[in-house]
Amino acid sequence: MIAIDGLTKHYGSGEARTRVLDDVTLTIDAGEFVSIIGTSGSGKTTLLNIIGGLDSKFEGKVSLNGREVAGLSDAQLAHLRNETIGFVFQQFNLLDHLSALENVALPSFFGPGDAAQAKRRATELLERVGLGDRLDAPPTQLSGGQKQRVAIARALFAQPAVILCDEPTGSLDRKTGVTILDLFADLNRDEGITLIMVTHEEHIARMSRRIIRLEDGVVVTDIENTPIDPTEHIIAPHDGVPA
Amino acid sequence: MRPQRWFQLVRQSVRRNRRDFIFSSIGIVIGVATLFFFTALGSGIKETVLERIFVVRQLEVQKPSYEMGLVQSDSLFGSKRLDDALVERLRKVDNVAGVYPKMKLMFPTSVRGGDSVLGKDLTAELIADGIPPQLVAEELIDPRIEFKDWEAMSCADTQCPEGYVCGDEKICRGAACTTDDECPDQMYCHGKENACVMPIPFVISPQLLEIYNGSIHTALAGASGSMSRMPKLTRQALIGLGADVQFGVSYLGRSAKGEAISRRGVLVGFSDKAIQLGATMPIGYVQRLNAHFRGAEAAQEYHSILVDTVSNDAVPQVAKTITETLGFALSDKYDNAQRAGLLILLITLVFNLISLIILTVAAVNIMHTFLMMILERRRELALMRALGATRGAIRAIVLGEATILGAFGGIAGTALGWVSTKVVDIAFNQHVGDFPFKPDTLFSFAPWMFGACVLVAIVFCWIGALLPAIRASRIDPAAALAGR
Repeated sequence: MIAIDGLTKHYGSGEARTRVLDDVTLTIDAGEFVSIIGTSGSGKTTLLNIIGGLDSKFEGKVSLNGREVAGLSDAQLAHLRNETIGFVFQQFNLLDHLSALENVALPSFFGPGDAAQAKRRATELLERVGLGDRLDAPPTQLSGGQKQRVAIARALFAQPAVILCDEPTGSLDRKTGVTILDLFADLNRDEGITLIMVTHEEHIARMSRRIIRLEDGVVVTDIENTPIDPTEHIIAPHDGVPA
Repeated sequence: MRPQRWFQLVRQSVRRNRRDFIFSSIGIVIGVATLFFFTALGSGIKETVLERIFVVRQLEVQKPSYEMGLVQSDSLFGSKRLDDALVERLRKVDNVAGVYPKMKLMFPTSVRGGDSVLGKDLTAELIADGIPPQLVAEELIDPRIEFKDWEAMSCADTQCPEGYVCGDEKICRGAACTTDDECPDQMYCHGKENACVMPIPFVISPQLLEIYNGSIHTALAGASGSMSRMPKLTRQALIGLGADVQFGVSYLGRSAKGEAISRRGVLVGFSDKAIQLGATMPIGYVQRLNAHFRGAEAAQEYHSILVDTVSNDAVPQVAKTITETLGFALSDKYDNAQRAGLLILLITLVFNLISLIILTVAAVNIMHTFLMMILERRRELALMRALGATRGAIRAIVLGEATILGAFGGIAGTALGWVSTKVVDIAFNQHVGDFPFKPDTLFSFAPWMFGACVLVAIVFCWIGALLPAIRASRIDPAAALAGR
C-alpha cells in the first residue's frame, strides 16, 4: 500500500544543509499498525509528513496505493489528503472558534458531500469516540483526552485508508493516553485502517504490530512486534514502564 | 470547494476577526465615501452646466461667418441659407433627435405693462424670437394659456375651440366681437379687427428674473420715487402677467413700413430655451410678423437652428457633419460646452484621484492587516491544507474575506457619501444665495454609481488581500503544523 524507496530528505542549503532522511526504503501494507520510533531529530515526523503528502520536496520514490506522491499536482495531493489520509497530531490542532462537531466536519469543506451529510457523519463519529454529549462544545471547554478524541473523529471523517499519528499521546496523561491508544487499536483491528504512529516512547510503540526505528534519518531496525495490552502494561501503579 | 461551503468558512472567519475587519474597513469606507461624493458632485455640476448653461446635447447651427478687422460678415457665404430645406437635411443626419428652427423679430418692437406686479406700467424695448412650441412643451406644465400658435390652428379635420370660427382657408380665426365680454375667458376683443383674439403666449429665460432680482432690483433700491419700492419677483407672480405689445414701433425707431400692430401678450412660463434677454413666442407669430413688416422672403430664413442629438456621445459626430459635410457653423455655446465639460471632467478626475489615493492607502492597510491575520492563522491554514484544502481554496478563502470586507466597506462608504451629499445640499440651499442657474441640488446620482462604488471597494480589498492570499496558499503545512 505504501512503498518508500530510497527516500532522502534535506533541510536548509549550502553549509547549513542537513540530511534528515537517508535512503529510507520500506513498505507498509494495508491494515498494518506500525510505530515509527526514534529520538528527537531522527526524522520520524518528516517521514510521516512525506507519507501524508504534506511535504513533497524529497528525493526517492514514495507511492501510496500505487500512485507516486511526487508526481501528483497540488489538487491531487489535496484530494489524497482529504479522502485517503487522516492526521492526528500531538497538539490536536483543533480550531478554537469552532464547536467539536464543526471541527470534526472540517474536512467536508474540501471534499464531497453537503453540510447536512457532514453534520450527520460528524455526530456519528463523536458518539463513537464517546463525545456524543459534547457536540457543541468548543475545544476550550474540552479536556486533553477529549480534544484528541475529537481530532481522531476528524481523522476518521472521510473514512481514510491510512491514519498518520504524530505523537498522539504526547500531550496527554498516561491514563488518557491509554484510552486513545485503545481507540487506535480498535480502529485498526475492527476496521482494518492502516495506522502509522510516530512516537519517541518505547512503551507506546510496543502497542503496534511493527516497530520501525529511525536514527539520524536511517532505518536501523524494522521488526515485527506482539502488541501489548496497554491497560496492563502502560498504566503501571508507579510509572513503571516495561522495557 | 463548493461556493456554499466556501461562503460558510469565509463567514466563520469574518465573524471571528470582526474587530480587525472593522478597523481595516475604515479606510475603505472613507475612500469610497469620498469617491461617491466627488463623482456625484462632478456629475451634478456637469449636468447643471451642460444641461442648462451650455446645453451640450443641443447644437445651434448658424451661418458661417468671418471677421475682417472690426467687422463680422457672412456675405461670403450668402448661398448658405438657414431655411426649411436645411431643416429637412438636418433631420436626416444620423443621431439627430429633433430640429428646431429659431427666428428673431426683424423690426422694432416695444412692450408696456407690469402694473399688477410692479405697481406701475413700464415701457421697454422688446427683443423677441420664435421657436417651435414642442421645444419647450415638456418644461411648461399646465400653463394657463397653452404655448402655441393660436392663429394657425387648422379646422380641416377638427373643430375650432370656443371663440374661433373656421375660416375660408380651413384656419381657425377669431369670432366677431365688439367687446371683451363677447369673447371666452382668456381671449379679448381686438378693437381694430373686431374679432376675439388669444393673447400671444410668451416664455422668458429664468436668467431674466435672476438679473432683475439680483441686479436691477438692487440698483433701483437707491432710485427716487416709486421705483425704489419695486418688489422682488417670483416665477409664480409673473406667470399670467399680461402686457401690450407694439410690433413695428419702439423707442429706437419705427418699422420701414411705418405702421404698427398692437397685440396683447401673456407670460406663460420660464424656459432655458428662451432668448436670454427678451421674450420668446411660438415661431408662427414671428414668421407672419416678419413677412408683414419685412416681406415674404424674410419669413423664410431662420436665424439659427437648434439640433437636438440623441445623446451627449453623439454630439461630436453630429457637429462634424454640420460643420464639415454641410458647411455650416456652430454657435460659441458648443465650444464653451466642450471647454466647460472638459474642465469639469478634469476637476472631477482630480478629486477622484484623491479618492483613489485614499483607497490605495486603505488597500495597503488591508494588506498589512491580512498579513498579520495570516501570520496568526498559520497553523489553522496549514491544518486546512492537511485536511484537503488546495492552494487555490486557501487563496479563495482569503479573497472571500476581502470580498466581504470590500462589500461592507463599499456599502457603508456609499451610504456615508450619500448622507454627506444631503448635508452639503442642505447647507448649500440654506446659506448660499440665489444666483443665475442655481441648481436645486449640487449632486447627480446615477444608479451605476452605487454599484460602481461597492465594486471599487471590493477591487481595492482584493488588491490589498492578493499578496497575503498568495502567501497563505504557500504556507508549508508540515512546518506550520510543527510550529516552525
